[in-house]
Amino acid sequence: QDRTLQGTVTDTNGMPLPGASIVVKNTTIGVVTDFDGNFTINIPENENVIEATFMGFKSQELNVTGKTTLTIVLEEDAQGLDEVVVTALGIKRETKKLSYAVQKVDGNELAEAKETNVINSLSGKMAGVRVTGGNSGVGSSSQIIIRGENSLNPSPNANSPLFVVDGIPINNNINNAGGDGNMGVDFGNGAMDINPDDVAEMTVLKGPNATALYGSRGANGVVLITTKSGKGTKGIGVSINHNTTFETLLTLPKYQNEYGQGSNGQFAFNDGGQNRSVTGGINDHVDESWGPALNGQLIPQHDSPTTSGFRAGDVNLRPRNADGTFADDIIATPFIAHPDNIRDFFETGFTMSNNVALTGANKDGNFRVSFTDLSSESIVPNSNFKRRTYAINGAYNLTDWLKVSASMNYINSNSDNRPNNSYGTENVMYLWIWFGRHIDMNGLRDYWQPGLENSQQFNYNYNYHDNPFFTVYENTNSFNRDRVITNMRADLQLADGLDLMFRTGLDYSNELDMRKRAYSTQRFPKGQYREDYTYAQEQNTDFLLSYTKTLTEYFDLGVSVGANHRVAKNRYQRMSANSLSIPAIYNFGNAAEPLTTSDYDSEFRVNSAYAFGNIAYKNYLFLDLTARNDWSSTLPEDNNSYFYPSAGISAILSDMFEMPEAISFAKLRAGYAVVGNDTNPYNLAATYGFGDTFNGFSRVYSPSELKNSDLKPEKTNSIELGADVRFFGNRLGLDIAVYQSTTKNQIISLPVSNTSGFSSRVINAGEVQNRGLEITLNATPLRTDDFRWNSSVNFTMNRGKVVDLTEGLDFYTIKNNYLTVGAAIGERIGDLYGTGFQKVNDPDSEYNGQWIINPDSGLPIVDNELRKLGNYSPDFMVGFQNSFQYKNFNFSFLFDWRQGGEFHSRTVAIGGTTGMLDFTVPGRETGIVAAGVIANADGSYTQNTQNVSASNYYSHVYNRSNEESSMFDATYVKLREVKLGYNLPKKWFDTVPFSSATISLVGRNLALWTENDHVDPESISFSGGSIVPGVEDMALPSTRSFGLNVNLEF
Amino acid sequence: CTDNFEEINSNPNAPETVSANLLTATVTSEITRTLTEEGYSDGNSITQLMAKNNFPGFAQFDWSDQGMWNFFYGILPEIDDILQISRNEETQNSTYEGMALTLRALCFANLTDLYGNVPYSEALAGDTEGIFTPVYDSQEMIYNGVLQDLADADAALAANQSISGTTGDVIYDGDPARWRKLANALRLRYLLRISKQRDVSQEMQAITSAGNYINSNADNATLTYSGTSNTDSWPQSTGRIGGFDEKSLCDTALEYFNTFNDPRLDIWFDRNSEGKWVGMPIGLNQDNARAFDDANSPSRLDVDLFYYSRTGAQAYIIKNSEVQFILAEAAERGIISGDAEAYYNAGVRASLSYWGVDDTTITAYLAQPAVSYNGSLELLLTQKTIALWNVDYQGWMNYRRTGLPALQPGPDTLNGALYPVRFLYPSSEQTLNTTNYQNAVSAMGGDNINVKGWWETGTRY
Repeated sequence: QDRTLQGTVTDTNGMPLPGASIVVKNTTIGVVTDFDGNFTINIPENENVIEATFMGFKSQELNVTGKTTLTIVLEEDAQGLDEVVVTALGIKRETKKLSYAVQKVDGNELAEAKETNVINSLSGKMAGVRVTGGNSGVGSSSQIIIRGENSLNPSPNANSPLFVVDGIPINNNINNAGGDGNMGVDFGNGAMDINPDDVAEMTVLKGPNATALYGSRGANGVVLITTKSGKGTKGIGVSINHNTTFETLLTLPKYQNEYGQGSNGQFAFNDGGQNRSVTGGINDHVDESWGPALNGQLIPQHDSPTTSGFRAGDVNLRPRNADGTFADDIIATPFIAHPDNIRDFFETGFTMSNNVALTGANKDGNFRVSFTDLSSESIVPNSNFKRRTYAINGAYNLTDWLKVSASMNYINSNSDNRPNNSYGTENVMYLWIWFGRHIDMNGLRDYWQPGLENSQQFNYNYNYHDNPFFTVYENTNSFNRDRVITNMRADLQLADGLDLMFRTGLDYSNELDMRKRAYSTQRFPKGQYREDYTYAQEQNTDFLLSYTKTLTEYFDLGVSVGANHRVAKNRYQRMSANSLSIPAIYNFGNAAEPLTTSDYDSEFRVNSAYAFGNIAYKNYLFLDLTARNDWSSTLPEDNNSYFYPSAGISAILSDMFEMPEAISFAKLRAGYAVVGNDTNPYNLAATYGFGDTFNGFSRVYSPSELKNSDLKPEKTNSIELGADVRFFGNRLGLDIAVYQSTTKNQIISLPVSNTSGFSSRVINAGEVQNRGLEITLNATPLRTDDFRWNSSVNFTMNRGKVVDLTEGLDFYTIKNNYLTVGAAIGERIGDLYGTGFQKVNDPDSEYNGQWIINPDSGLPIVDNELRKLGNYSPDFMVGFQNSFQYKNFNFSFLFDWRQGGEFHSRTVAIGGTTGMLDFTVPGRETGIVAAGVIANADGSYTQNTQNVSASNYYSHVYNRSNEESSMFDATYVKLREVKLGYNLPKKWFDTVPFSSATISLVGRNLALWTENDHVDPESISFSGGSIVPGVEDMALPSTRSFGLNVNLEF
Repeated sequence: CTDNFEEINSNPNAPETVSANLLTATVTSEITRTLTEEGYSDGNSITQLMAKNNFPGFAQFDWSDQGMWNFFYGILPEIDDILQISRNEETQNSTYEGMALTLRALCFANLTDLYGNVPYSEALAGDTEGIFTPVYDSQEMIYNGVLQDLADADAALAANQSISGTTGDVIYDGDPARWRKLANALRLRYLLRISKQRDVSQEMQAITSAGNYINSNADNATLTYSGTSNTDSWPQSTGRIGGFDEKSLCDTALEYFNTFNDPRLDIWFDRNSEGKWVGMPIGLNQDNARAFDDANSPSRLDVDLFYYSRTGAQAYIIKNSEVQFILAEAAERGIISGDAEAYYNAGVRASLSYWGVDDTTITAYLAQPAVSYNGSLELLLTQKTIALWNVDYQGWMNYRRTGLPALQPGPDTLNGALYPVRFLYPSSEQTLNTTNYQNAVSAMGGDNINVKGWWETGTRY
């Protein structure tokens, strides 16, 4: 017979401790105290011991035999030793017993300094975790890599950790579709739908040792998200959270302000290149900035008035002569710089989030309902992101032996417009790099030629570019995504110590993206309408049978067996009308040509069985064993079953042996794990692909990838050692983890010479080894009654190495976008290869290392042989966090330092060739002599003396096919987060209905220090629908944000 | 645990086998379109019919592989599949077989003409023989194969088997007789090409005498764009006007046109804003090209024909005019019997008539002293070069073989005094087929744009 125990947890001063956990020992039954430190817990028959734990306090075990109420007083402790964390399959365990590294972030921390994409909140806070944010403003994708890349597969999803919400795996795919003449749009990554207000805790399981039970999907780590519940609420709880954040530019390329559009120092507008041979002006078709100095001289410009009363750029309206030339005259206006023209385009971003949550609990159950509305206006005009989250969960004890719980999250994300990314006319950052410094941005705001609304834009240029306001207001990329993440669970107590859990969950999403392109768009002169529909569904059903028993005085035993059934279905459909009969009517019925379409369906299943056990000896020596077998539909019949085990041990030395007084706690841990992995559906047999019809004929393409009917599962072996030592009454704590993981038999799409009839083939190959060191240092340097200073540093170093590829292969092209990301045997993962200039390679020569100059041109010679230009992986990363608490005030800041690695900046490369960036000013009047030598026929060298024009020099040196000139050190330090919070004193609330109120001022990404002053090295680059590592390509400026967070509890 | 796994993992989106017509639609459209697009953008530049006022690197000889390698090796698997299907017992069809052989020959001839030694005997054998790093074969060996394929195509097409249902063929709609004419026209092209190395007169004579080659504009291997979508429209019509405006009349071509008083000038180009014909020098760098452009306003390409119309310009593999000039040169050199002048006149007539010039004008044109045939190969090959407007790189091949009409590098060339004769191998071969790539480079004497191939180093004339 269960019984109910009510109680209160306080500190030694009698102050209630909200959020303390109470667990019935030897069970998974646990609750958390409410705001007043109260709790109610069901104690099963035969259980008499409860354990109370709270971060920063020493835990306590209490015998509660016969008791129905009690007060638990916890003693303060600098470091929480007996912290309970959620581990694989949602099992809560004490940190001290674990044989692997686990780190968690508390939900309050996420809610306060709110990031719309919850992944970003992990940046800098954990050792071993690398987060890279997207470049399309609020609502962008973020990529998270834990302990380096294990896979040679370039897909952004191949190295993503698994995300699990309340025990249910969810999809974290990145959706950045291009195609059909459109450039990519970042519609976000799957885990972005998680609402920070509903997160109680995020736990990161870093390596296979921690994730072995997740099998195939755990090889890259697991992010476990536990959502808030009503557990522990006394009566009815109401919480309200409001967050307002403003965003401003953190970076912007440094444009020059000395020279305007044109060529050879000449420019005069007449038609902006619309009909060059009839009405062309002076270089007004040239979209580069090698024009006249901006000295205020009078020059006809696109926004100059004309004698006909139109703007000069209203080229479709101005009166014409019979031969097509203009009949009016442009009244020249001063040619001056508009130094802030690009800054003027951007607006202050604004994000507002409101959350209301109601909770309730009694002795039989609890519930929580929560509604969150997030609405964000981007720094890019007319671009936004909106998300509404409806969350409900509840649990009820139906009987003594049966408890049911369920949760349902419905998330609607949408946007009226998401900016395009990557290189081309649909991205405004592309326009800026080809823009003119003489252009007044405000003069482009009226983006139609008057009377030609919906059919002809107004612009400074008509032969290559679109008006940026036209782009963002007319050529929109909207989306709407409905997502449901739900689970149902039943816990049965079959007998004393024998529990059965049964759970089924679903992650379902349905997304519609709509692209509209107006008439007169460069890429779509007659407009476009396109719809992309993505459907994804994953269902997981599992059970777990657990048995725990105290064997003897010294031994505790726990054994579990379980099974999982997973079904995933995906569907993608695209339809596009690439010209429209009537402008501005976006409907497929209005198509002026046959629709182009594409669709893809896929399904796969994985069945798994697993078992695990743990033995504890004297509560200081712990052994964990796991075993799992998967059957995957994606692998060939003979190889579709694969087994993998893990073992881990941890020993609390400080409980085993007498330690010096300075050492308050010491633990060693070690583990070995194997994890298997399958592949994508349909990788066994090659198929033909459909093409667009041509002159009425259907067309197909032969397979470009040779599939493989003999694939074997991948295997990752991992070993991890660690130590957790704390000193001086836990005022100083040190956690060290070292690991090595090796992934073999990788299923990769190996690029092959296309002379073989295929451009790639699917094989098992490759061996990638990651070795790393993670150190976390926690300290409380100062502590008084009123004041506390906590400081923590985490350090991450990972080296990924290519150990082997396949027979006859010593170099593998992982990705080819501008740069080649290559894997060479014995070299690091992340090596970047590209072309550079020929240089003198002769240590004896005084010219060693100098450019070799082509005597014909006076410019350095491009060497087309690929060379290693760097590596995109950091050498190490450091997060440094400090928090100060003084009475009701708290203040904290976080620095994020990433050291080393290189990247290629396409903004710098293109901005050099176009003359837009600041470094292209020197030499404009005098010409430039390239620093280099001429190679003489006899092998000697002569210093180059040939003077070339600045435009020739810069456009050659920064030539986009020569990546070497625009490589940069990716090192940065960011002031990632600053928070100032104030808890309103409790005594103020005597006359108001709420019981607590917290106000915080928060700032994120406030400052950046890095080598390249044009772009943020952190911006993810997208191309062809996936992430291009090591490349920055026309990234939108990164932003800093300031905000206010108010939290009220009733 | 694994019930239905095989069924679940069978791809519902795409077929594992297809019929020949679906592949034929792909290869006939892609090859014809790409060859003409290449001719339009770069082929016309290298023969100095056109110059660029923006991004002029190609005519400064700032070269790489130019993408043709990937195009041809990318489309050859489809051709190979058609060939397999046409030879399977159940799907046997000698017309598809002849079409596939013809197109395979065309692709490999282009590859070796542009790059020199390329994978041939071991190429396309990834699935059948597991060869992923095929050896490079010599140009001579590839030419033996190309000519054999074309002879086999001639024989297969002679069977005159009809195709039932949709043919997929956007050129001749599966007509074996006309495909046979195309195969033999290509044989004439490639036989003449190797005639500095080999005595080809017997074979050329036999083909000429049999008469089964393209001999009228009605037989031209052309593709007419239907213009129903971006895909089946003249490619330039779907780009930005800025890209179209980067091209101008070249002063070398203007000189030809002025000498001949040539009506094609007005068909292909527009007068400039001052109503004049102005040509732009070849091989200027960006600054100089723009400065010239700004100061002189060179004539741009005819905007109605080459930009605004989705269907006005056609794509083609080979036309009657080229065949007539091939025969004219062969006759002039005594490789075949016949009247060089008659062939020359037929070639000029075929070209002008293709571009819509009426017979009377053509007759007057031919009567001009500068045009009328005088036995000069320079005149013949200059007329041929003009007729090869937009025909991939065929004009450049003629120049490489004969040195006619003489072409000089422009003032801002990056290649010294040399006129380049081949493209560079793609950098992917350096990493994906390293050993064979290196062997080919050493066999050819380097991977640079000045290494001559086998057929252009013959000594028969």
